[in-house]
Amino acid sequence: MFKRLGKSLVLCLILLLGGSGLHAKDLVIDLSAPIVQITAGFSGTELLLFGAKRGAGDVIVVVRGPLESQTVHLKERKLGIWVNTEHLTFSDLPSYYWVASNRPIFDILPADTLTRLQIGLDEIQIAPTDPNANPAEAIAFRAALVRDKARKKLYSEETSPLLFLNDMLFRTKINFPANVSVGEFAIETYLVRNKEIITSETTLLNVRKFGLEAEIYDFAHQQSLLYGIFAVIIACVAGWLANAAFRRS
Amino acid sequence: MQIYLPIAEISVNIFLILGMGGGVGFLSGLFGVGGGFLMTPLLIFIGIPPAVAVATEANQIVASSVSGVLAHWRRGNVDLKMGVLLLLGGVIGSSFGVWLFTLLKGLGQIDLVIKLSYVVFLGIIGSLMLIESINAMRASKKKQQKRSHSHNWMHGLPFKMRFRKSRLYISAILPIIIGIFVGILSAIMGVGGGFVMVPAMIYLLGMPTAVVVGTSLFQIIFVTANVTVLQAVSNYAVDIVLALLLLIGGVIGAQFGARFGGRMQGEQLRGMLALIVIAVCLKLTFDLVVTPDDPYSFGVGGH
Repeated sequence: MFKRLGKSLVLCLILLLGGSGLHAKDLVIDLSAPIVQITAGFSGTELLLFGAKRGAGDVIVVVRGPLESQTVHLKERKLGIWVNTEHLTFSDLPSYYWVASNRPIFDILPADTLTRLQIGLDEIQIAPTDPNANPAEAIAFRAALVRDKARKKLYSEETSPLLFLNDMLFRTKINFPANVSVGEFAIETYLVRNKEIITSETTLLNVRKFGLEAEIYDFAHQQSLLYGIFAVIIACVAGWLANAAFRRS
Repeated sequence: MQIYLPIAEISVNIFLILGMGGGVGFLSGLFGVGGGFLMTPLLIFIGIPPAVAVATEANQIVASSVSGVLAHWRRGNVDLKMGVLLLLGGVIGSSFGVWLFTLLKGLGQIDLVIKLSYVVFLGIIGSLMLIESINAMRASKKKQQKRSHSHNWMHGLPFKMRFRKSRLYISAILPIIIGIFVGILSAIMGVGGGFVMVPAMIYLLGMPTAVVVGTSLFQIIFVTANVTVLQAVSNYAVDIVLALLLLIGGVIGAQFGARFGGRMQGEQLRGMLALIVIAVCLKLTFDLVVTPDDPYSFGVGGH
């Protein structure tokens, strides 16, 4: 399916790039699907990112999930058992982070540019909401958070490969695990020549719950009282049915 | 086959959940217990967030108690008056319990409190049951026994009421206090509380064993329904999909359990149940004591 999709994508991209140069762009990208739908059977998915560039240069793709805040608790042994003691809250960190490039990002862009654009796992700005937090502690908590995100496949530990098909076309795969957050994902693609960004493109990807899953989630959050009563009614009916079945047998 | 749970927000194997429902249902049919005290820790073991496990299990217990109470009702084994008093306490206790739950969740200590409550209660109940069933097996030939309650300070309490079905004349305060206590447990541990209430009704109130189970089930329906609604409103933690899957497995398992249980002796059954309870308790204790893989834990959102 990807192959056929890929061919039509390539065709579109070539048309978009245009030969005339009037409205031509140096960089065009497209995705194999504009939205990711989380349905009942969702166990993660893979998207294909296709792009075309004009001229020589390296390409870096960065995908960021919707921002979230996370509280990190530290356990310590107290009276023989492990108890949450200290905690730090981090806000406005991407719920998902993924980078792909055709060669190591450090060879493509200078360190200060990577820092400025927050490209690379170490460059994501994750700061505690409490400005008085102990800096050494904040670093340890941040590292633990990033480690946890990587373990859940929500942050890519290594830069994923990006393949050049020829001088113009490239593609890469983006993996979304089953526990991915819902919301708007921003996909930034940078075209770099001689350590300088020639142009960049931003594409939005929508990840949302779909079908019954979405309806249940919305119901539970928007009309929680009604949802609770509904859950109880379902349980009562199910219990009554079970009893009726019992009696017959 | 994986299924995505909309509230727990994780993807689980549908057959694992059905199997767990079936297994715990089998045990609850076999031993005549609700099974919440086994299911909630199991759900936590497979990675369901503890808050969701507790709230969803309360929802499932509503169903299993409805199905159980109907059978007892038909045999006239529900003391409605006693049930309503227990329920009064239960509503107070469970409302307070959910409030406490939300508070502890905000402090980041809810997981610890849930686990510690389990360790303490499973440890006590499991040990008592084991000792009792060993003694019963030893003394099974000897004839029993004195009336299980005697006159003491409790009979000096005011607001005495007559309970015809239970053939008792005791203060209304006692069942209300038991109800409050069980309600708190229900909210924090995601259990019906039968494993605490049944012994309390027999040994503290002196109710006849025949009406104890039906009456406690009657109370449990309303208390767990209250917990379900309050958890849905204050913690958004009730997962209907998970509850339904557990229910289906549970109903089927309970049928087999009840048939199998008819062929076994009471003391042996209680002894086996005691061993299971102690095993769950030890596993939870082990998890609290052993050095975790990662001393850090994570939760979405600030507070």
